[in-house]
Amino acid sequence: MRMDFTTNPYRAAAGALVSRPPSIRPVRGLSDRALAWILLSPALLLFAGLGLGPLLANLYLSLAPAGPGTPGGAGFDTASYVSVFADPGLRRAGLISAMYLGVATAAEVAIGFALAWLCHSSLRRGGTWVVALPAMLSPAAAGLIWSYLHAPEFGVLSGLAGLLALVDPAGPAGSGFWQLVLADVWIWSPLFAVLTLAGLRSVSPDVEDMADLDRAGPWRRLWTISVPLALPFIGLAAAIRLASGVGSFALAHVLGAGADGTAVSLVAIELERLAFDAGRKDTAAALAFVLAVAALAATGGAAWALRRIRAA
Amino acid sequence: MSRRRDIGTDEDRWFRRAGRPAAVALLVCAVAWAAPLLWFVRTSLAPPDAATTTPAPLVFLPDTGAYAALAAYLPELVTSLALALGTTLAGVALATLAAYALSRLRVPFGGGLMFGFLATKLTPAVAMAVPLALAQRLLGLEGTGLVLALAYTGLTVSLAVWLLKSFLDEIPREYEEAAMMEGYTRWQAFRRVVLPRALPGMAVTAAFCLVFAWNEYTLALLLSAAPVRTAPSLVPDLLGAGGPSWPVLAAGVTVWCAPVLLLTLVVRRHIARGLSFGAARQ
Repeated sequence: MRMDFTTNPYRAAAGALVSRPPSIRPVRGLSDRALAWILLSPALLLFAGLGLGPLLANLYLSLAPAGPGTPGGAGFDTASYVSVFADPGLRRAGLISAMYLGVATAAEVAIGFALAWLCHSSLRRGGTWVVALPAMLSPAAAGLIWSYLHAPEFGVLSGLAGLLALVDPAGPAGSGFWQLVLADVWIWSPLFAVLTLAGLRSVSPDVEDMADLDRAGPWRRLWTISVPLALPFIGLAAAIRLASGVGSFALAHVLGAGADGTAVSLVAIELERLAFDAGRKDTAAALAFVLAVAALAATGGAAWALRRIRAA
Repeated sequence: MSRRRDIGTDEDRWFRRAGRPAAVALLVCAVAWAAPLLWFVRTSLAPPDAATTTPAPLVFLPDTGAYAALAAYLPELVTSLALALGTTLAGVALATLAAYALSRLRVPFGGGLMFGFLATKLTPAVAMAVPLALAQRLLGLEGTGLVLALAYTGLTVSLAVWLLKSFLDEIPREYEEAAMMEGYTRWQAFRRVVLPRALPGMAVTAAFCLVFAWNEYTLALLLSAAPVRTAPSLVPDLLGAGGPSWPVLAAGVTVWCAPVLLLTLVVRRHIARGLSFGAARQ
């Protein structure tokens, strides 16, 4: 039975939204599933080449018994993984990376929350992009800026740090470590601020009204309403930060090149040295695989937070 | 609701009480946050001796010689621009198709695919660079920029799929269902009904992808080689060779960051969405 155009809302919407070209004839043949795979295939090819490909290649390179591509090589050899976990230099790099990530992320959560709370209290909407600017800058550009500020002879911050005796260059991680942390906090705190603010602004007005009825003060609102509801956003920022921080390279590399040519010994810096300077491809591949798996675990956290936010 | 209309609520009274000190504190934070960048812009305009003296002079006659010196690095800047624009266009185009499929059509393991795209974007670039550099050497592609372009396109797609899916999810399905009831095929409905409404989201996504490709350092350093070198890969050379010329480096960073700041201004309403892979809809 032919449906009446005026009473069918879908057809009425179609009439309003799309003007049917006279020459169009319905073309049948492709099912939705076939179309889905056709549309997805270019992206899937790239995913296979860049997501799965390097992961599997690293696994292969790290387990190949006598070097990759050796004819007659059978089975697999875990010696490269043993050297990754037994090498004192790499273990030290792992420790420094963990310290760096822990200290920087804790500072970024705190500063990001404070900035978000200030924005939430003082700006009804907009204006937050000013705070977010460093998050959009290149880590290499940020590294150059902070190299200049920390230059031993004329850097504004090196003079200040020396004056206040803030940094002990002979300390366990050296002054480069704190320079790295400072620059990292500068770049990444805005991410936490922007996402925490999005969480704070996602609080329903109904919940605010209920808090009003209960005569809840700002402090109580903060801890019982805002923080719990912003937690998935903070968790997402932390997961993104950890996944990115596991292989953090650019900032440390540029800061190191700007100082005395020696970058803070993060795992990613050691990986680059192993692969491109020392030529130890098997150990580098094993380390790269371990890093990718660690980043994958953090990505799982990010995916969980994304699901929570979307479900809210 | 406008501020004038809800002026009498408890929330607004609290806002008026807490708002002003918070605004002042926020302004101080914003200035402190921008200070390193502004200081570097000042260095780009300082005469060479004023850039490295202590105490640093605040007043001087601006010298644009550092910006003129950047002409020597024009080929690398052009390469970076071409690579960023090309990979952004390709990435957003491919990601739009994939995002539509994931948003509207039944795709087996769709959730797993989305996780795969997210994982690809968050995989450490340095871990990705080891096999890519090896493949580049084995295939004789060093100095062509092809592997770098493919890598950027792949990473751009991974980011863009998440962002575009969030935009496409917001377009009511009823629009294309109505079009299909009028006789459009699924593909025609996508092209004529969904795509025009997705254009603003595609533009925002392209801006974020452009910023990513423009800013990328690790793969540029480890995979690009003469004659096709991008500007970020020059940084260690400029810092190491006989002591850096800080005004030239500062001018380079200023020129480098200017388009990023401009794009940030353009997409300022969508920054939270861009940084959160489309989750935050501020």
